[in-house]
Amino acid sequence: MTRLQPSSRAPFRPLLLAGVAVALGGPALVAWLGTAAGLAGKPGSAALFLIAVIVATATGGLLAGLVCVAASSLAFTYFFLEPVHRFELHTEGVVGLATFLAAALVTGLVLEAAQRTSSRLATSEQVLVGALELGRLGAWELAPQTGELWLSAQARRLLGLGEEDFDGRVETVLRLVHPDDVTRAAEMLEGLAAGKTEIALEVRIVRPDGEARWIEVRGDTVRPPARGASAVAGVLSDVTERKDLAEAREAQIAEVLREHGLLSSVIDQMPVGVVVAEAPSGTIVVGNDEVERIWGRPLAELGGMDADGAQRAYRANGRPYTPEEWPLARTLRTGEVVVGERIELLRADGSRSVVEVSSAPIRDRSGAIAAGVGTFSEVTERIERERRERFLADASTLLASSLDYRETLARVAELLVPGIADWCSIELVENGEIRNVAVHHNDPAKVELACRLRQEYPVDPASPTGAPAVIRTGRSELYADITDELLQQAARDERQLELMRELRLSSALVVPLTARGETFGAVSLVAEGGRRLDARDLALAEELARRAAVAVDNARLYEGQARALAAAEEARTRTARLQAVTEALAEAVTRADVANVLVREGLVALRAQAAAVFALAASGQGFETLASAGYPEELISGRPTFEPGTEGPAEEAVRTGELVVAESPEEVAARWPSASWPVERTGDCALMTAPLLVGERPVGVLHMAFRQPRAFDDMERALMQTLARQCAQALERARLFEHEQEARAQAERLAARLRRLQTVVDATFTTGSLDDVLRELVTRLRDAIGADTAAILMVDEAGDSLVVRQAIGFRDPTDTRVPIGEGFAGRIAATRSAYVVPDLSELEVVSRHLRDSGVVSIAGVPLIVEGRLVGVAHVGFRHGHSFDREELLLLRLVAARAAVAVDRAHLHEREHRIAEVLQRSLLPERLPALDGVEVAARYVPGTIGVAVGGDWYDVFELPDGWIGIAVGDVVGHGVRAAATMGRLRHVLRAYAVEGFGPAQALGRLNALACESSDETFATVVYALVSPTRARVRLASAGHPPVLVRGPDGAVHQAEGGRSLPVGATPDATYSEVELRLEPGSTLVLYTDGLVERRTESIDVGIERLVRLIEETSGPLDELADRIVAQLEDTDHTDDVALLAVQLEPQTTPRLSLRFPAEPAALAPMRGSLRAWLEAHGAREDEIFDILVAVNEACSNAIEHPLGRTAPDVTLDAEMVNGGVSLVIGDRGRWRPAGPRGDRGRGLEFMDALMEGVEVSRSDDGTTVHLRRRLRRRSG
Amino acid sequence: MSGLSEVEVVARAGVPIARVRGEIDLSNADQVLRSLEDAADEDAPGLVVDLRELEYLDSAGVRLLFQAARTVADAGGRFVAVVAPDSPARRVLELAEASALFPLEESEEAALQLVSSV
Repeated sequence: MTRLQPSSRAPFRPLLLAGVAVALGGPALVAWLGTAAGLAGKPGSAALFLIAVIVATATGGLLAGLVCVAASSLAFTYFFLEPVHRFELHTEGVVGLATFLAAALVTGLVLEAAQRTSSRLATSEQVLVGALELGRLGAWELAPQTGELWLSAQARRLLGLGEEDFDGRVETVLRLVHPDDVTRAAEMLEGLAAGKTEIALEVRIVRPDGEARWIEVRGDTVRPPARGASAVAGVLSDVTERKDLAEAREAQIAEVLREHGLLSSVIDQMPVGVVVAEAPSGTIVVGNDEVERIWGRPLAELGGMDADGAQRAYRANGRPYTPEEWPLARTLRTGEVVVGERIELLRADGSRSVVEVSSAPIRDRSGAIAAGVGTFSEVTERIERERRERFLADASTLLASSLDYRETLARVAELLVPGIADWCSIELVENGEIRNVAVHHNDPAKVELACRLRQEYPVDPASPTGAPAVIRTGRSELYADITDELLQQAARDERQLELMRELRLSSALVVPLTARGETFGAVSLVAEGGRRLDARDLALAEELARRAAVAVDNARLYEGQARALAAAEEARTRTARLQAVTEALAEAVTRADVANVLVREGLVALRAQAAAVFALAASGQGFETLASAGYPEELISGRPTFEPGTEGPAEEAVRTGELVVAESPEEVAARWPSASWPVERTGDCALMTAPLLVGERPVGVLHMAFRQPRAFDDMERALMQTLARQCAQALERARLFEHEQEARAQAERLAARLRRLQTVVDATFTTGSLDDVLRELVTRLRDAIGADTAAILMVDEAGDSLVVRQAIGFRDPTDTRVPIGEGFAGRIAATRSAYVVPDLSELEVVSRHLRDSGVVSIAGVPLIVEGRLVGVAHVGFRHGHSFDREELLLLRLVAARAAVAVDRAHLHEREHRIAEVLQRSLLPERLPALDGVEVAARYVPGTIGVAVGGDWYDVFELPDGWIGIAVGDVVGHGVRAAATMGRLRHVLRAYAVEGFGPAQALGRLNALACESSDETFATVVYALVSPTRARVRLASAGHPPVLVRGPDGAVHQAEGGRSLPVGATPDATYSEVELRLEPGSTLVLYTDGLVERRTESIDVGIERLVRLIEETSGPLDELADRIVAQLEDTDHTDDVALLAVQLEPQTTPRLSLRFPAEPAALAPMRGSLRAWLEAHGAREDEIFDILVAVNEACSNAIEHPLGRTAPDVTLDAEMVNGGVSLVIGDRGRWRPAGPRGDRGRGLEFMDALMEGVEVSRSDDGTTVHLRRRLRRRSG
Repeated sequence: MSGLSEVEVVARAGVPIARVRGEIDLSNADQVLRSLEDAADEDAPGLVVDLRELEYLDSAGVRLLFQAARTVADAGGRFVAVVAPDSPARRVLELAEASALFPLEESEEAALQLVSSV
């Protein structure tokens, strides 16, 4: 605290001296008047003044003279000199004063000597007394030795003594002295007695009338020792008033000092800054530490609060205060009371704060403004907080306003500028890359500059500072001052430094966007042009970023969910589309049909604008166009060739056997600069070209083109490949068909001429195995030509020799091999041309069977399918024979037919083998023999395509006596669908064994299907039949309804428990329904192939099936046969699985259950127990009692603290002696039951409901035995 | 198993009636209790719990009814259960001496009258 002493310059000392001089009496007054008169007259005044001094001295003695001199000179100085010189010693004055002093001294000394002489000569006591009385002094004289005292009348009056009261003794006066002062008075007397010559004493006396007075006693030895006994004489004066005045003043001073101290400490303690400034100067009288803190400099340095304060303060609009406008100045000037004027203060250290200033005047008694008090309270924090809260509220509203987080973030950036900073930039991590999603500055030119900077210098994800670092670490960064040095460090080169300098950045901060523990972005704020960002801004930005992050996170979650839904929808659409393609292909007979289907469906499925199917020409060189859409005719006619150096996407697909993808016109042009099929004219901006592969062999390409550049996702690529796969298979099938058609046409043409050969051609159309076909061909060939021998040899698997497959006319043709290139057949194979040998003896025959056959003339042709050699056919005569043209033509014809048959048979054989293997491995080899359940199952392959599909059925018994039955249908056909089907079937079994109920098992199956990469999509119905066979828990995943035939023969559809197909969406939930079935009921489960016809609604099919089941009685197998048989009458194409299950009630003497110690297991346990009790004829009330008792025992087991593994509970129930015995076991110890706890109540229930309750506890667990007699239902 | 029980809440003459169907055991007792507490209305004179369509009830269910009754009583309301005569629920509730804590009525009307008469 700085205490400024009030300036003390009151000029009262000369006045006081003058007063004393006056008080000294008339002589001094006379002298002074004389002096004044003398001086006033100026010339000759020195003489008059001198006279006055002499008079004064003569009358008052030396002391009076000196005092007079001094008083006069000072009075003179004070009153007569110019006011400006009051405090200066004037040269003239000094000289004058010195002269007077010297004169007075000399005069005084002379007069003193003269006076002493005269006093010795004549004691003029009367004069003295007169003088004393005039000056209110009392005179006294004391003879110390005798104690005799003389007092003048004035002295007596001063002491309050009457003439009669005073007896002339000093003791009398001493008695008046105040007790506190008696000692001092006595000491004085003793001093006088001891010879002391001068005394001066102030004592208090108490007058006889009781009034206390201060008396000053002065005295001197007046009679020299030479005259005998000495006497002391002196004066008394009443100084009471003076004393009182002095005391009051001291008290006053003490009071003021105390009050001042108090005020100071109060001011010091005040939480606001307080200053008191004097009017009118504005000088600060007092102020506290808070003021210094607010202003950031010591008060002593501040000087006047008005001037200095104003210069550093600004109004809200930024205008500085003038000294006159400053609140305290206004108060001092006009008395205005200022309340809470808000100013912005620029501190000495450059920081700013907002201060509320109030000021009020302090008035003296007269009402004049004596001073002003000003208070300062810093509201920077409060204002900042308010602003921050307002801002955050705005931001929160904004963040909640939209789920498009990019848009929201852009608006957050706008909100931040320019309130918080001049720049705002927001980065997000998207797909592993840091991307800018918002930049904002009020000046668009600046934004452009920043964008340019960013484009030229992309964000370095490994940067040690800035957004990448913040995203990496999740910690904020604050650069309060961006120095040029900092810029130089950050810049990668001179140009970047230049651009960054141009932005005039002054301060920056970066805060992370973090939600759920993950930092996925950053908000950067930058100030420019000297503006500084501080910790407050950082805190605000962090809070905003936290809220924004939550909003972005939510929006992203929402987006992800929407995407997942869209993907599921897409998958569904795609599946439907693929099904449509499959169906359409089933109707396509020729290759052109197939190609048209693919082009048409492909355009829709992939949303392409152009498409074409090119087939490889038979020559292997160039393509032929099978179908196209979206391309002009002339473009299609100039289709791709295989000219070297002119490769296009089609050629590349064929060459690599891989899907070719190009996503932009630039990519197309760059990859195939000189394609034979000019890409620059096709208008393809993006394309996918898939090779059509039969096995490994390319047969063409499927080409899909788009008019806009676009990226293809994995799903589209997979779809394209699936389409190509289907296309290739269908084309191949159609090709074989066409091939057959062509061959047949040719054969028919020949047949017109060669009617007798018809039978040969027909042979190829007999159904049966390849060997059957070939045997027929060989036989008819020999018969037709009238030859002795005929044989067909086939290239073996290694491809280097021929093996006789069918022969006629030979003795032992089996297992005869001919290396290709050797002998007769070998040569035909090697040259791939017909060979006629009129005399075999001229040739080195390799094969033993030919050598031993006795053949003389022989003719043979190669069997070629699409340029591939598959074998050789030959006919021989045992005599010389000349083959005519017709015979050779016939031979060639047979060879062509045989080739096709071989090829097709190979294909079919392979597929058949696989299909058979799959069938065997995927469907149950035999159905289990089960108590109370009769099962009939059928599987019928589809009539089109390969003979294996994705349908399955399954029946299995579970450890607890329940039986699982399932029928499913995997979308698709062929080996893949079959493999998926096998997987689903086994997984479902696994879930069943693990104890999952139907809904749970299907839920898990769905999760598995959705996770699998091969786009599994299947409908499944899964049911659990209770051990008593009276209840069925049923769940269906998109499957056709299960039909139930009651014992009365009425059939109805099972309702409830229906959910989405597995693989449709991971979000699907599965429910189940429990059916209670009468004994003898039959369940019929089937796949849609049984009821779906292209020409009618599925409901019609189901209705037909219902009627059929109703009409059929007899054994279950008969029902199954009849259902399958009706398929023959219809155009069913899909494969069909059928499962019929007939239930007979079961009474098992024992019931054993094991279930997990979970509350959820209680309901199924009760279900099983109820069924078992029902089956044993227990009455409803008995059943209920037993259920409650057993449930309580199980609940106890479940609620045990389970310290060990194997948290299973077992229940064993048995019918004994007209009652039921139940044992519930577990592996834990029961919690001790409280007096009214549930478990206690559970025990009570058991006791009340059962006839025998025993609870045995061991280290291994707790076992409860319950017994109860049963009355049994009648019947 | 969420489908084990179902609680339907209706209001008649300003009194909430919770109709509990299905089964109550350890696995869903807390859930049913929450439903009942949700059904209770502090401004209403009480709560009627209709258990006539309840097929199964054990000590966990008794506990929840006791708790619900206590909650309603604490709020100054009256708790009345409706159970069919000779029903399994009545048997269990009588075993637990529930009638000492709350009345067991045979119809919703009787229960409503009892609640409203207070």
